[in-house]
Amino acid sequence: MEQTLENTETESVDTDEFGEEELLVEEISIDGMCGVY
Amino acid sequence: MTTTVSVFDADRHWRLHERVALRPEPFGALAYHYGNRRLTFLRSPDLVTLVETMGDQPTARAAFEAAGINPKRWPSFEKALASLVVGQFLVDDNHIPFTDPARG
Amino acid sequence: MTSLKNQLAAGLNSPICLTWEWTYACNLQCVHCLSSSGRRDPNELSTEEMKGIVDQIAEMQIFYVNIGGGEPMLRPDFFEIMEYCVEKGVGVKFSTNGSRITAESAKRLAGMDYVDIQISLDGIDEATNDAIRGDGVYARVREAMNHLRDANFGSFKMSVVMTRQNVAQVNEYEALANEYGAELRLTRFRPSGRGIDTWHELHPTSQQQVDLYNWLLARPHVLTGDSFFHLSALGEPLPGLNLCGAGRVVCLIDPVGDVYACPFVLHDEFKAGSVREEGGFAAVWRSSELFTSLREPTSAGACGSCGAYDACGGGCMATKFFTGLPLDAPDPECVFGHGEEALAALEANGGAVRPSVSKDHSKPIGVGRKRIPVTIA
Repeated sequence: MEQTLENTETESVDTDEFGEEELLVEEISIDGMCGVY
Repeated sequence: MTTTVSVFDADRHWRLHERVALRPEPFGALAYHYGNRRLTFLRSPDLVTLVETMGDQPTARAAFEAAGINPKRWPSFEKALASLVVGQFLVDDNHIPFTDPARG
Repeated sequence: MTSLKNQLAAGLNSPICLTWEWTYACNLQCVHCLSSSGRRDPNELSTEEMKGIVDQIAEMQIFYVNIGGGEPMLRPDFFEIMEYCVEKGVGVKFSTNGSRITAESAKRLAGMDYVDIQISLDGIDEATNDAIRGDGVYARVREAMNHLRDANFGSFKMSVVMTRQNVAQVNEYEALANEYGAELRLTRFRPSGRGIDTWHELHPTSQQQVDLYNWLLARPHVLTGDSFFHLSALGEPLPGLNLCGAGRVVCLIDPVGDVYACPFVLHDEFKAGSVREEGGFAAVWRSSELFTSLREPTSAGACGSCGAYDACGGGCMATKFFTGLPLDAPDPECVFGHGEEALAALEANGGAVRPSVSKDHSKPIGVGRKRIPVTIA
């Protein structure tokens, strides 16, 4: 899988090419990041 | 990670919970809730604007309109706002503000 | 829309998970200590310098800091700086060995907002725990947890580093955490700090890792600090970012103000700069050479042909580095055994050159410091 890392800062298209809704909110556990504590 | 999304009432007044901090990032913003320790990524600058101005408008629907966002995008935004309610990032007028003992 | 993982890999304006070690002083000499702590560094940040860093953290809108050490409560100004953090709106999560949690300090901590505590424990009983953390430590930790409970502190975390000798005790850790209304956290043992020497004998076997993966998958409420993302190659990903966040989402400030890519690479190779230099922490985070290079897309290297690369990202940089593997090699604990193969190949070619600790604050062996245990009685 190709990984593109260009940040689409100004792009705020909310539907992908299939017209499906995009996920505008994503929650991550603060414990879900690599750290000691 | 999936969150159960309940129906969002767009016709009432919502605002950011007083214990939420927003930090702009290239993709939109990070939102951290100091009360429940939840961390959320707001992945659209338009969503960030909407959330920041939400409290100034009488209803969420009015805030969406005032933010000038393409009405066709409403379903995605509605889903996003519902998620934020689940995480307690957005509260309505029934919410009682938390008084922070550390700040007196 | 690029995936969140890709966006995070490219870097953030400020770290999310900032680890800040407040001192290299420690009253324990755990055999796996990632910071090789023991003796206080004579060049430790002063109280004023510490507060200056808190100011910077608040300015950069970093939501919370993860405090550790050594043993942070050994700093005479511990509470002063904690209170300063709270005053500035910076959340504090600190990790402690529990030896300074008394009835009094527990009450004081319970009265502070924004403060979360994590207590370290590496065995369900004296035999298992004390072999790693030292004589009498198990009893002391139980006392500390009792004090927190009695002071109505609320929920705290109990954090266990998974070793060959304690993986089998996971159900008992869960029960113990439940007993206190605490959250259980299991983390990966990395060959960092004093772990460089002890890792090879103490890290879990591959079968234990598979068992652990399955156990964790069935218990999404058990915290892991995203430290087992290398196991996500086994199937359904574990909860968390599943990403090496070093220099991208996380980093560490050490007791003398040096900034490292993550807590597990306290080595000159991964030192990004110093907060004592002009521009302070913000300058290091935003424009240091090391972090800039870590934020560039990486190649899959030796893992390129493996179908699981998307899931595990090639594993943990720190674990590779301290076992002497190049950073584009498989993780030493690669679930498919590719890491073991790579290590074996290194041995066959004249032995792996393992980096040694750049700054060793360990107390000499014999001063309360054990050699690694060979067997548990």
